[in-house]
Amino acid sequence: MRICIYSIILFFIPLFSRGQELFLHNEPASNVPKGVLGVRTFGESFREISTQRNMLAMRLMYGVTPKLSVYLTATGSNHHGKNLPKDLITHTHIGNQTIYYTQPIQKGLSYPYRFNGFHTYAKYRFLTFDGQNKHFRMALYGEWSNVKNAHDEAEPNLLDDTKGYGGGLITTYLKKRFAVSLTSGVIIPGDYEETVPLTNGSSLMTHTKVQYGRAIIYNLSFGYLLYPKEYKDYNQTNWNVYLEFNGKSYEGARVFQDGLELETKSYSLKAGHYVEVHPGIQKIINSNLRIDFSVGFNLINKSYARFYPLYMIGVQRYFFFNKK
Amino acid sequence: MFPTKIIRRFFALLVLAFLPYMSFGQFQSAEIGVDGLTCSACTRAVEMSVRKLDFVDSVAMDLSNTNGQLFFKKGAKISVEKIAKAVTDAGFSVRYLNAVFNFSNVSVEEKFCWTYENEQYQFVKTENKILNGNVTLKFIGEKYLSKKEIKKWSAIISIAKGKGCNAKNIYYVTL
Repeated sequence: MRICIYSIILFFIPLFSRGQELFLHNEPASNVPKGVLGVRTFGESFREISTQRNMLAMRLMYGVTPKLSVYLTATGSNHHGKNLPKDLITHTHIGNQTIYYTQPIQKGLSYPYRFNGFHTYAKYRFLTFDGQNKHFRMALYGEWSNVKNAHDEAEPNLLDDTKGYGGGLITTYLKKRFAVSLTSGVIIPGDYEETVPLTNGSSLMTHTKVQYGRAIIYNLSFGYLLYPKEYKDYNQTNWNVYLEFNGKSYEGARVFQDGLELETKSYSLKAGHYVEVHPGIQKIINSNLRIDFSVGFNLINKSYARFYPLYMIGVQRYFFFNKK
Repeated sequence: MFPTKIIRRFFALLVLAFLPYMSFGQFQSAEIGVDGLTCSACTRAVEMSVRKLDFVDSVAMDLSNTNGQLFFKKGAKISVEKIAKAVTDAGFSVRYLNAVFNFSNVSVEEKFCWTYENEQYQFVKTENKILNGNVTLKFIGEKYLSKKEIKKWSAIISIAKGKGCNAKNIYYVTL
């Protein structure tokens, strides 16, 4: 697997000698044009042992001003059960004392599809240096999510796992066929709480709260225009290739049962960091309809919130609302 | 009665005298250079934004040189400022903006203030000349030139300010 990843990277590196900023996983510092509505639908899929985990998202994007864009994304997935896994919290007896703690859960359980919630995102471009066939731009972004899933990992993910808010800085440089962009930011997740019967059918209720870890993200994206070699008209199909490195470092989660903090013995609830690599390809039809496809692998450590390879497919289009 | 007649004649003569200097032409077309573009989808976004302007008849963008030709509707009131705004609304910057006007016998010189459809255009860095037929006017200003280019003009504009046109919003143009 590792050899496979390195060979993909080696394949892409020569292409970066000379682009495109329509990244598949990260946002560029550029905006949606003023008064234009963008619609994006995308899905992510990975195999978790014997279960195929899917996430589907529908995103509306709007250019409020030339410098301010707002996004609203709704997601659904089969990633989580209605409640936290039953085997997440276990206990042991020392003398006549019962000690509760978290343990690694059984992976690959099948869950039904659930609506996760809404994620909102706003991006403001505050710095613009434009030149002919190039630009250097910087933007600030903020995000907020009301997703309330029974997420059992410390890693926060505002799009489809945890509620909370975040923000950061995007720096994009683009020259001719080549684009590079750095996204750095923080995620301040909320918590998840549930009150469920202690055991099946029991009238005794127990309250569990999981406070997910705060995180910093550091994502580096490269893009390159593969085809056409020379622009002639809007009908030329564009092919762009991307290589995106997504890094995240997060604190450990804190788990409370009936107000008492439990020791977290499960690795997925502990602090961690990882870097993923997502090579991707994009086809743009009639200079508007975008079709994105990428496959993600772990490069340094891994995310416990998913398995690899992680497939992503997306379709996006802008609506200009011209009177003519 | 006599003085009224004279005044009338005087005004009629005045109008006749100025007739050659009044232009009956209009803006025919414009060319815009756009900065920050590298993808055809981005160029298309600029075209769609410019096409929304009610006085624009058609647009032809040159994708490889990132500039475009705008053709105007006959008899429509053209706003050069709105063209520049349409480019920035799409998220990009104007590198240059030139517009072609059909003049008939307009004598211009440095600081000459030309009024057309309630808009004032002050000529800068201009030699004495009589404009006839289609003439390209190059627009000077932060909205119409790249940051690099405007630096070359800032001293000229600051000297010209208040010495030709007197309206609140003045377009500075050169040949």
